[in-house]
Amino acid sequence: MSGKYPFIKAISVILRIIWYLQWIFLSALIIISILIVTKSSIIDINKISGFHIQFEKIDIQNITSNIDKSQGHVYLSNGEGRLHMKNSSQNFIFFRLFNVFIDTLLYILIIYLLQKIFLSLKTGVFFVKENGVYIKKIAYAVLGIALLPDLINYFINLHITETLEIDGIILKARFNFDLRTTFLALIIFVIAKVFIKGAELKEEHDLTI
Amino acid sequence: MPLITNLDVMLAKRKMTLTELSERIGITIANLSILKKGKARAVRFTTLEAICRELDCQPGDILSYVSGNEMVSED
Repeated sequence: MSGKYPFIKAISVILRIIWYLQWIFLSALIIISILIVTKSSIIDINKISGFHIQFEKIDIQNITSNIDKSQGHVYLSNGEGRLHMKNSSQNFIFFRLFNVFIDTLLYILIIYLLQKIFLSLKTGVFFVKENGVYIKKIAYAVLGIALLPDLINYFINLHITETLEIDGIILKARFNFDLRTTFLALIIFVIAKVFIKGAELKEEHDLTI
Repeated sequence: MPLITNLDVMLAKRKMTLTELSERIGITIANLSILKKGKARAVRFTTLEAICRELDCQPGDILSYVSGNEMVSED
């Protein structure tokens, strides 16, 4: 089948490359984490603690105008603006690393399941219940990608608002709900359900003599 | 499954092979084998009719119902 459809082979190769890259990335993350935990001299913790904290909305004018004043407003979340933090707690780094770990593991899971589906495309046995289960697992992983990083970011931001003090700025944590990816996950979930039902009907049809 | 097929018994009674039956009724040996092993989910009336015609028997001779308790005691 792969001879007839060379794009399946090409995508399989690309997936394989991404698969190895993800593992290299995860290995690097683990090494960095170990170095941070052991307080190795290779990593300058002070440089890392100046992590960029992302904001969904950052009112530059508000900050600049209020930075020397008593109060200002900044909304913390993912997106447009960034604030470079200096002399911040080491906990921020672990929160961020945990976030990236979760994200990477979910991507690895998706790539693994996609590889399995493409392998069945190669062998020609595609319309089976197992593939529907794989698609359903992909839907869960996409849902995880949609919700988990934002949830962790929200808790990081909560932690920041409780621990970090910047003169003239009030930090506010806000949960940034990724609606589009959540919808995508739901659509994949529906496709998986339809696929499983279709595979069951096919099996029944095949076993009707 | 409580429904069991006695196709092999009927074939032995009629001294007919599965290959011969498959040729006569136009169903592949693979499909007849699924029926013989009791792995089939459903049987078409046309298939049943053809089998009964060729084996000169009734549907009840090919299919029989065994309750769950009987199946356990048999095991």
